[in-house]
Amino acid sequence: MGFRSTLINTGKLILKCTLVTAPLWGFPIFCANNILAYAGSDYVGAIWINDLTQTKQSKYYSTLVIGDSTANSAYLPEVLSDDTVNLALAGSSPVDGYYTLENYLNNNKAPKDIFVSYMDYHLDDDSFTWNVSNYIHKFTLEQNEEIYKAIEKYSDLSVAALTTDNDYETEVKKYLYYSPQIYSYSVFQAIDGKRYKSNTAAYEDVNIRLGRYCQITNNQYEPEGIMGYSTFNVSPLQEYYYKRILNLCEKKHIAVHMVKLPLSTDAGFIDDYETEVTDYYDELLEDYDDADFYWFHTTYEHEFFSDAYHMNNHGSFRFSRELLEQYPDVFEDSVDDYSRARMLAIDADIAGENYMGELTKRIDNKPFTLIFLDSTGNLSDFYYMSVGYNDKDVQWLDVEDNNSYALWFLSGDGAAFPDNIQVTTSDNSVAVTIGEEVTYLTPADGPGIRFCVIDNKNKSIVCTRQSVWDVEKGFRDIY
Amino acid sequence: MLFNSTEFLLFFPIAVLLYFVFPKKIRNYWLLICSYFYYMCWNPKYIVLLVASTVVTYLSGLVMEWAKNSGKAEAQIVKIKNWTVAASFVLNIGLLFYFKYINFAMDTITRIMAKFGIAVTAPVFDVVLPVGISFYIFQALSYTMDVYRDEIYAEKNFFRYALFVSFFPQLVAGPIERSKNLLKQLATPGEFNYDNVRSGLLTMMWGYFLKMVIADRCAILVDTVYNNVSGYFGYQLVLASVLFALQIYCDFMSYSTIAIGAARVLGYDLMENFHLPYFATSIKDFWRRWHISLSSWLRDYLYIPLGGNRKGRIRKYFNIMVTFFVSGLWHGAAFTYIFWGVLHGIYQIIEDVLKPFTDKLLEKTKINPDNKLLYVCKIVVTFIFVDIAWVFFRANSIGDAFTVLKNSLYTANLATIKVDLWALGLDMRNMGMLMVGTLVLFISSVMRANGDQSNKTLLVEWISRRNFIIRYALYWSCMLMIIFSMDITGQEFIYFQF
Repeated sequence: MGFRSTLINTGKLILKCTLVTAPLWGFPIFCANNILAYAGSDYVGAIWINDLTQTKQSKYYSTLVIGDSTANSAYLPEVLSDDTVNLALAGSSPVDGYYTLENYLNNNKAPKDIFVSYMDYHLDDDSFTWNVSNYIHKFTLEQNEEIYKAIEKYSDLSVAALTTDNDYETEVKKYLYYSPQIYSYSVFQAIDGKRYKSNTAAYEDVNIRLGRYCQITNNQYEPEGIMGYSTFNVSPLQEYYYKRILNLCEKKHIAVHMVKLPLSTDAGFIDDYETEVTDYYDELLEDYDDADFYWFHTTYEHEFFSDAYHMNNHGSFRFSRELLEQYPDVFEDSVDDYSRARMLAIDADIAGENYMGELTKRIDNKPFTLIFLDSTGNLSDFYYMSVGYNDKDVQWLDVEDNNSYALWFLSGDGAAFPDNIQVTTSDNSVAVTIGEEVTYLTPADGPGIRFCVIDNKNKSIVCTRQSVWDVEKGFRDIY
Repeated sequence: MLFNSTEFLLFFPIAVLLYFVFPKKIRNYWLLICSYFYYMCWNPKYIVLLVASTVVTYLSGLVMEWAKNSGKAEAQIVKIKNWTVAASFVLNIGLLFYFKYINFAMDTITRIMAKFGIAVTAPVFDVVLPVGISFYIFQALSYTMDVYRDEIYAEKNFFRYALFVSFFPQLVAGPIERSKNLLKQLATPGEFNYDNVRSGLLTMMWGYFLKMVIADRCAILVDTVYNNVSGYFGYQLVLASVLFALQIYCDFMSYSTIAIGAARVLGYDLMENFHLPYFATSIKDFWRRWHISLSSWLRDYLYIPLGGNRKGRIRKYFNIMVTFFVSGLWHGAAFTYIFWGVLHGIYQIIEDVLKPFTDKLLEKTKINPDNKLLYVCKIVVTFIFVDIAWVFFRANSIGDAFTVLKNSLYTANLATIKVDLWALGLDMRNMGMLMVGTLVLFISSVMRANGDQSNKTLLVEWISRRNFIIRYALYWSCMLMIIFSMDITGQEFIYFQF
């Protein structure tokens, strides 16, 4: 066989091999460009945060939040200010927090303030979100090398055995090059396309909530006794990254606010725990001029928590309002500045609300309109008993021709009934028209009150709810 | 470096590319370097054992060749040859014994002594089983025996011989090649041949399919059940045992298939190691089809030298039992393997004893021996017996194996079957993928069984003759199934441990 034919055959072979193995090399390309199509739902929040930190944002964020899942669930950017973004990551520790901040600063203008909150167990333990962060390509190869060296110096190399049988670098490269050994399971599970649909919706939800994705619920924690916090410890590895966060902020002239979040009433601080905590942070921050530590010593009742550590929506709302009071200078632009995006986040909170009292707190002083369809004649009872909302009154709007129900409205910011909302009554429903969209409100199922919440800024109906009246119990919670 | 590792996917193309780029004269040296590098990727220090075995068998070959040509008296030549072959066997089997069986032997002695009320504390040796040791030592010994029997001339070129012992495609899990086949081929370095390379690569792809799509999925369910045998009953145990039969077949055959494919790419033909073993119609037939390179090795170098079937019925049965005992022991230093081997020996003896009666029964009932239904029945019955033996092979202890067999007889609770089935470690998608993979294997096996014995009846070859669209649709389906199996478990090949 001549050289020429060998050459032709080799070329033919290479071409065929390339074609046959197309799925093999096409796989990383697909994975790199379609992460929402295959990633598990747990990754979506982290993906959103990663996307935000690794790209240049058109909007300037003056305040960032970094921390773990307790921080992610506690800080409500929509309550704090329009320029706040929550970059706290579930399962993370200062190791991850540092790189979140570094990535953000590599692509964006430095914020003015940063809030840092980690639960004790993420400071005491050396673990961090190695798998998740590499899965979503948060860490570069260089950052991974830095982490490995830090582990080598400050911890036990067994921590670096986050990987399976392979060494750290090999495992990192598997993630980096989208090896099917790492990603094929997810892609296989997502083959029916359902993940893409649900992930896209979840991603949009995180986008609306400006990074908040953990424990978005009003489930209530049921404590089983006193937790008993007795010792406070920060591992050398986590402390090293704590200091790196502080150094980076100092370099970029960012004010650091280390906040220890409120715990539930069953926390129980014993022995010298409180002294240990304050002493630790005093010592940590003594060399930094623009850094402070604040501990929300007040414990919240357990109904403000969804579990022993994470606040539920009510807790987060309460905490964020208290934070506003604690740091008025940081959030000076907060009041009366509700952008459409910020309103969408509040809408999302309201949509998941089951308590009328909490719902009205969220619309307070904001451009919302509530339309009530009262078929009991007891709206005032409902209103004052369940809301306790005395600043502004509900106002008369209309009545159905046969007096079967009456229409009232409530304005969050005290404004008149918006011109762009048309309300038309008929026998068994009320047509609420906003722009081209018509929503029909029917009377409650039985004696009660049906109402809808309208976001005036976004010109949309946030939710419709009802509260049914019971002879013995009065008005029940909304649903 | 496993065949199913990223490292091998980088190593193999480089090895092949440079092999064909280099001039013919140095191709074997390059392959030898690759083979040693491949072995050292597992543990560099154990290369010493490979070299030791190579040197000992190489020298024994030269000594026997020298004796043959020395002009000495026949009796003296025989004496030298006997001593040489004995020395080669003692040194090689000694190595194998030390690294594979020493702790098992010590433990067994301790237990036996304890039975007699003698408390002995046997020393525990800190040894790691070197990967592939049973394979390359048997391969090297087959060379010694072939030279001893004057079936081949001793190889003068040490490097070529070293390559024969360490040829990387089949180094760690076979097939256990014979010098008459591979060593002869190595005398002429392989040429680049488009058809060989194409066929070799397709064969390798088929091997990966068997390993990753079928064997590794079976492993999940089998491990779940067999690591907690008392927690499962009835059909769960039966399913796990049947899937183990499938797992070990696909796992081991996949290695041999990849090895054969890789060797073919380089221009060499390795022997077939499996020929549709679960289509066997008797246990004897099964051993003609299963791990052919080992069973033929045991036949040629153990069973026949022991006297085979030439010294009467009792002696024949004794030889069968010894051969299967060794076969069991070769697989591992554990009583479960020995029991498995002995059980196959007993099967064969019973089969042999019953054969005249079954033949007579067929004659009396006038059933045509070529009857299709009878053929299928024979296959099913043989499979059941083979699978019962596999239970002992897979179980963590002989006690566990009996628990599996006993509890397999419980009837299934049909009301919970749907829930229980998914609790065995494989979800619906993976079970579906396993079923598709098994169906492909079945089709491939039927094609092979019904066709002639040429490569044309291989499924991959059949696919390669289809038109472009069908061909690539099938290739890509196969590739996608492999990709979607890559993170299943990343299991080692079962036969690595032997």
